Amino acid sequence: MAAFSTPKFKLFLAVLILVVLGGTAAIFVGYRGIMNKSDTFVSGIRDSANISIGNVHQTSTRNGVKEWILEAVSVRYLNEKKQAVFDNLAVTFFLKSENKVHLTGNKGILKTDSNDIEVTGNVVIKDKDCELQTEKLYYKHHQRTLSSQAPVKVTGSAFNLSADSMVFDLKTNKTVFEGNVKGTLGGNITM
Amino acid sequence: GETAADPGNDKGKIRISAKTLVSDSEAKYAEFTGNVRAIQGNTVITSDRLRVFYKAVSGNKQKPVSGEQAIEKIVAEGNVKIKFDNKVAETEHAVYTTKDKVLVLSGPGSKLISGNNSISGSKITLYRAEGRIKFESNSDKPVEAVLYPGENGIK
Repeated sequence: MAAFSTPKFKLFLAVLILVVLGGTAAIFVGYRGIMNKSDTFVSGIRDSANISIGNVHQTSTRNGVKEWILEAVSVRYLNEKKQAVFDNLAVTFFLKSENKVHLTGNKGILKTDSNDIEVTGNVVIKDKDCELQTEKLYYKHHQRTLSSQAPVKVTGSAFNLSADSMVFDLKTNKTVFEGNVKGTLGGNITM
Repeated sequence: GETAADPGNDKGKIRISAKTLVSDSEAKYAEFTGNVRAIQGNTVITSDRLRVFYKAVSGNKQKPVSGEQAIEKIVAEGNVKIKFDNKVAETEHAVYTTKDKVLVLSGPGSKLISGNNSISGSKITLYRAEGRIKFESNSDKPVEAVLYPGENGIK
């Protein structure tokens, strides 16, 4: 029993008590910290994914005329940001000339206030004549234009071309390519 | 960039470069503007604007439309220079129609140069399939020819 009353043992006991007290304080402080953040954490969850839906089908009409149909594997509606974030989306645009334009991409952000859409990742646009590839594309609902400030590549039955940027007007079916335009036309035409 | 004429390239294809391109699917044309350069085999066209008119491409897969059926007409405007065979055509306005392979140069300063020889006229028509060239004048500008003896003339 004498061993328990030696100065060395008393010192060991004091240190042990200090360590236990310190540990308890640390855990308490850490827990408070998490608790404080939890409100913002929870509201963050609340903000970032109000609703998450799989297999989406969304149609946009104007004056009773169908303008586009959007389908996606999933969507997350972000109330606060007025956005809907789509994964693996496909959009079909209906043109005045009865033609259709098909747009696909890895990810799309629909601004629910303006109906503008930003599409990124493996973006492909197809119509009956050709196919356009780029990495980032904007659909401006009010102007009814599809535009890309990223390099674009277009391939068609008798031509292919590339450019630094482009704007496609869905109303007039006209496309403007700007910067470094390079194209190859036709097959057996001899000038 | 590629050389003036790149014999190695695919003779059939026309390679075009420019600053801007406007493509109108309704009116079926594509207009290149700004330092336009079009190359096919040994033929090189440079101009301010180049407009390519094409035909509606039929959609069936069994009979894909060849390039020739797709392009109907090519119009070059503004500082037009066309190098082909051993000749250079200079004009402000050139129209090439694929169906009959006819190239028409019109407007002031239209001229055909071959070596030191040159012939100018208000309208020059080159029948590419037949190798025939017609020079026409108008009321205020006759056809003018500068030919050096001992050379091959304009062939």
